[in-house]
Amino acid sequence: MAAGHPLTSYVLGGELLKKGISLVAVTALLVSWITVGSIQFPAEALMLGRRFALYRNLLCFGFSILIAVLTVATLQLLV
Amino acid sequence: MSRGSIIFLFVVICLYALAFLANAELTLNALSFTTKLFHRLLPVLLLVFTLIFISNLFIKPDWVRANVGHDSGLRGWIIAVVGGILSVGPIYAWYALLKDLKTKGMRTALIAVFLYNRGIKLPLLPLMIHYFGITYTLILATYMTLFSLLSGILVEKIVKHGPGH
Repeated sequence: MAAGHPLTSYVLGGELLKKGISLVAVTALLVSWITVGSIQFPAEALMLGRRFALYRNLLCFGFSILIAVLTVATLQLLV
Repeated sequence: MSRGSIIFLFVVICLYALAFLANAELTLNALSFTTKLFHRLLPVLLLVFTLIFISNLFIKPDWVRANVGHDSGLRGWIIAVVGGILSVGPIYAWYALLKDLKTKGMRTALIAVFLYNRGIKLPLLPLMIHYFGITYTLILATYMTLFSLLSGILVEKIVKHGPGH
């Protein structure tokens, strides 16, 4: 959910992985960084509706964990 | 301009005036920072206005309803996914356009799908591949696309069945 360019999340994620952080955690970080918009929430709520912005971001947050688990599980199956 | 925004502007000007009386140098530094920020935002604002201009000129409500409306079917989902992946620039530049398309009949689910797929950044994929490998990148991009569809469906259901609907 951190603010910043997605490029930063890739670099940060890569470095965290090298330091021994689990791939699931790193993937969840990447996905939530690029999909959850906590900083732009007020603008999104103003333009597209408060309810839309709130539930879209909540779903993105929840899905980031699911996607992380599924991605790593699928990767382990294939590799 | 709404009454609230005029009051907010007036309050900000008063605060700057008080800050200038307390510490002129610091206030001038703050103003300089604000000016630089405004210059950085100008290209983004230009992009927003250009997108809205193009939208009003070429994208008519009939086209919106046919291609990204409630009855657009598979075509609408594909346009939202591909559009999100290909879109560039900061996300807040797209909010105004999406709001405009929404008033012309764009489906709520497809707006959510578009915003979610903005997370798949094509120019940055080589960097992701460098750090995590091509298999991981492909798997992650696939799951993100699939979950974007799910998020669209769920968000639309929640918004539709919310209070006042």
